[in-house]
Amino acid sequence: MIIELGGRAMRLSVKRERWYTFGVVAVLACLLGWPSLDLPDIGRGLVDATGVVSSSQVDTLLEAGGKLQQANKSLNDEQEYYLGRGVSAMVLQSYPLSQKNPGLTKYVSQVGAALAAHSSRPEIFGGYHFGILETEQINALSGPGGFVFVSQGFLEIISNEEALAGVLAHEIGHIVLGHGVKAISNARMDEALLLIGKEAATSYGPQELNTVTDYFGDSVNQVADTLMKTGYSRTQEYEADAFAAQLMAKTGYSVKGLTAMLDQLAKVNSSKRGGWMDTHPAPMDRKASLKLPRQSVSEEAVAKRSARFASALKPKPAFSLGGFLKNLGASAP
Amino acid sequence: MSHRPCFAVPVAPQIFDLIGPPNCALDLKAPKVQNELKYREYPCTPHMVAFSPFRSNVLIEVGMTQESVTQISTFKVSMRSALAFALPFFLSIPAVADAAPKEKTLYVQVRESKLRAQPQFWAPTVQELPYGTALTALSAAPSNKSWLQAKVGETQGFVHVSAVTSRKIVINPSAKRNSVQSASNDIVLAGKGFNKQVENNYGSSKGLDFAAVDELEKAKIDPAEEVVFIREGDLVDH
Repeated sequence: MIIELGGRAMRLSVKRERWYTFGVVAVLACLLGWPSLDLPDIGRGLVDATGVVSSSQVDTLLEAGGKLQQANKSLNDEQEYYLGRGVSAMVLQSYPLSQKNPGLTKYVSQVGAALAAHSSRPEIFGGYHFGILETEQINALSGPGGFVFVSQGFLEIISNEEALAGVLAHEIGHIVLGHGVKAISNARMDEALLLIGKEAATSYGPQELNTVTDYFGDSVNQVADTLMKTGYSRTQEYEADAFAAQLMAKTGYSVKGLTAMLDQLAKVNSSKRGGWMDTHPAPMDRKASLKLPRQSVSEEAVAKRSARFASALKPKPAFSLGGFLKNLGASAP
Repeated sequence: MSHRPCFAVPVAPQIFDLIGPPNCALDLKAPKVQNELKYREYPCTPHMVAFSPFRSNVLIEVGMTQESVTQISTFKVSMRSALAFALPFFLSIPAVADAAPKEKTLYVQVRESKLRAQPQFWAPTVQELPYGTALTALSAAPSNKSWLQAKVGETQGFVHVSAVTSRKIVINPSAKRNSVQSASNDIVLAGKGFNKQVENNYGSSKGLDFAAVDELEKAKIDPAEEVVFIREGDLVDH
């Protein structure tokens, strides 16, 4: 069939052919899977089939990876990091870092690092850092920028590595979901970003420095107050719990550890105040709202991890020359 | 600019769809009239070709005068051939796209990342990637779409999407104010905004000590030890 373009006859012919084309293309589309092609770009289908990425597909992947941050797209990773350092300095002013058992700090960090690696944001500007707070209060906190804290008192009431993973995964959830940055009032953040956006220079003059520092201080205070006094919203806490359950399952932890941790919290709820008791919803409310993913974890693996949790909690005896010589003498013939 | 040939299918008076591979152009039967045709030159992707009749896109704009319409009367399009071409073309969309992948430059947005041997967080390091390093995204890792296969120079490896951004990062921006740079959303000036200078000023004015934070940051996880920790605990290491 030949179409000749030109004159009235051509126009009529074109009209018929247009509907013919419309019909044929529609049939082809149905046969070949319209939904998979009717995307903003051909990205998703192609990535699945061939692994080839285009610019728009990379953008989609970056967004899926959490890099277009939900909290505030104008606060980049580096600025979030400095905000997190400020918040952490405030936390550590109230609760010093525990120096009693460096082995326990290392163990907590290893559990946290295993979890963070499976999150949608394993890479964060300064990396994830985990510390133990020297307080009997039952508490765990996380600032923006990857800083996670758990209190000595909390470690004493949880029974195994799965429960510890539940606490840390919840805190990592607050970071990945951007809850800390969201604690800053929108108006204050808008003012700060407006000022920051005006200047391309990274070194401020005295007046500008003081103005940016004021915004920085206000932001730090708002986030720190949220962490230590008022707490996040109930919705954000439930989001962090749901995130934690998924992250634990991806990492290989039994999600029952999360509910066991909430049960343990409920037992002490009436006797201890402060920390999580004041800033989080009631443990049983959290448990009721939690939907656990299906998984299969061997009891043997859980027991193995529980054993190393118990071992890590015991402080390692410090080396003593006197004790060493005494033992040496006792073992001599 | 040379194009691969394609077919034009009329969808309305003076409006045609192109059917052909990416970056295709009209294959005119009468080369003499080529200069008289006016059409938008833009990449002819399979997606938009297939469904452009249902969209408002105008793929080819023939000269608006009656003369030019008459002039192209010698241009003939074989509808049957066009559809015969279209069917295998639809079926081979991935292959067609594979033949002409688009590369994209990304920039490391964390202080230190790594190009890894496998798309796994604890995989061996192929190359260290400091803040602001430019790399080229090649493909998504087949096993995990959160990882991109990328290259820096001739070195290839995998990088997690959370470590990179499409916004260019300028590491040592001039202290001289530059309103053009500042206004651009496509550029990140490292050290701009909340930075060490602001932190120091805040710390000294409020008596806030950052030494404990520095100490916390000093502790690093050894990747080799972490892999042992994960495996000994029967956790997932990939």
